[in-house]
Amino acid sequence: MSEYIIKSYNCETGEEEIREMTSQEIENHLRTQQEYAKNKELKQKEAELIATKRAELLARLGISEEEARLLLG
Amino acid sequence: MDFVADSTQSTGLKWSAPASSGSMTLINTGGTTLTGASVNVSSIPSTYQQLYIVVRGYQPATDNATLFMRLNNDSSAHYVATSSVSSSGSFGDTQVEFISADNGTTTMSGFTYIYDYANTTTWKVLSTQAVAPNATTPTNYGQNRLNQYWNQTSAVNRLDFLPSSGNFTAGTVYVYGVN
Repeated sequence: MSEYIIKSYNCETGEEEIREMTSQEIENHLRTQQEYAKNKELKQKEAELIATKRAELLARLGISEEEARLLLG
Repeated sequence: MDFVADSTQSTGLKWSAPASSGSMTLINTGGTTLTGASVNVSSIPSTYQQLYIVVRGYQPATDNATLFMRLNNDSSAHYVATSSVSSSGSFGDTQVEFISADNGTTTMSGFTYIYDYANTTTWKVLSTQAVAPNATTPTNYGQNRLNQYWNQTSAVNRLDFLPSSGNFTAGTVYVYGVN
């Protein structure tokens, strides 16, 4: 049996159906998962870049993160 | 409550019976088990004020996979999620999220409210909160508290659930209609 199984529950009839996804459904499913993985990686890289820039700036100013917070608070 | 005419009363008026409220009905009888690659709950009646969706024990086959939900099987970039109190921006997500979870535990718990889900004139507001064992250190937690929005005006009549990667191992979804 395929690993792409879809389960449907119909609230009106109370019927449950379990079937293999159509090729179109598999394509959509995989596209969703790939796009999410790509976006997640991008966001992680962005966060890492911001963290690096923040650390560099603090080092240049010669103050700790806590001191910077005090200054801005 | 309102005043209504009643000739049997000395004043000719009486208080009307209060409108029924505060009830919660499980729409997908017994709950729907999360299994395979995708699970949907369809033909949701539009007779309630809100939908309250409870997810118990979501366990992905792939470690750290996030539980997604879609409205009316819409996979376009019509969704947005934010934890900010106030913000603005464009809609760029193709689903709403619950939380990512460890693949070796079944103690995840979460819910989403969909306000005024049956109206056909406004965008939809979703409020989500979830907690799950952290994928790297399962004795630690991961949590999400998200404001999520869908920029479509259709009444919500179908919910699709899928993991961000791989298949479901376990979990159950309960869809309640709330008045």
